[in-house]
Amino acid sequence: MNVHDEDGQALVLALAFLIFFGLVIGAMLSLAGASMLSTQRLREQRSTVYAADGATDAAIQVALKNSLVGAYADPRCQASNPSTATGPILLTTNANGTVANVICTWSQDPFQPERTVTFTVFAGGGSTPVAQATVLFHDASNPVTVNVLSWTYCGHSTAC
Amino acid sequence: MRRLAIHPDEGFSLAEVLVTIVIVGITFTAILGGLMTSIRVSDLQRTEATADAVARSAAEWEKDSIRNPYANCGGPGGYSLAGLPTPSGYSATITSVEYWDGTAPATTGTYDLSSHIQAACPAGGDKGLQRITIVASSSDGQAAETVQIMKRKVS
Repeated sequence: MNVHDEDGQALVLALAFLIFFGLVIGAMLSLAGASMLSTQRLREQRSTVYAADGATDAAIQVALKNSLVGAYADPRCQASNPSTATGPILLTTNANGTVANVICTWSQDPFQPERTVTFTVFAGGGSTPVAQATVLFHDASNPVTVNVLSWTYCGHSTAC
Repeated sequence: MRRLAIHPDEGFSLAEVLVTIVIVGITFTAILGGLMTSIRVSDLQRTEATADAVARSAAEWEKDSIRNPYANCGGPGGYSLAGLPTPSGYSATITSVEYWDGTAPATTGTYDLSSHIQAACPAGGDKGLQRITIVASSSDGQAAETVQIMKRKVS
């Protein structure tokens, strides 16, 4: 009979114990870190959405008070809706620490007394649109009134 | 009969016991430290996430033009968050209302709205656009989330 069969088993058990609890603690810290990261991402997403929302509202109000904004061939706007943040920028604003740029698309019909303007917002330095709103300005009425025809948040499932 | 070369009644020496205690102590201290950090971070994350949700709710509440009609030059007192459902231990307040000065954009170039937002109501009256700052915070002071929204006068 070999009386030293169990020699060294204590070390193995101790190492297994340390590894097990090390992994458990590592996993818990990793989970906590992931939660913090998700909260941070959520905050950034909130900032982006509200910055885009605010920029759109601001652009609508600026265009409401200035009837040339978005009129046919307005040099501050474009002929068609942009898919990237290139071309003239109508308005820029900073809210929640996020910069939002609004690109407008002018009315297509030069003889239409009312303006139908599309505002596309790029926020947070992104090159893809965050939101897009198409707005009808009743320039013939006094004071000028606004109808928001559509207000879309661009995402994975919604193209703008 | 020859005796086995083992000493079944032999115990551990004091040095062995001390080394064991030190190792176990260090290990458990590390484990408890990790656990406490994890619990603290988790609690902070939950508090921040809840404050974020309260901030979003307050922002939507404030933007709602039926519940909170546009207040011309009303200041923070012109709007109310009364009735906003908030979890216990959290609150939301409107800290400031700023106003668009109504400056018209140039015929070319980009209009920088931030340079046309001011703290005081414009001399000619409200121009129909305000920047409202809302702060949602936890009563324990762990989390405070700020959200800025633009409120437009609905025509």
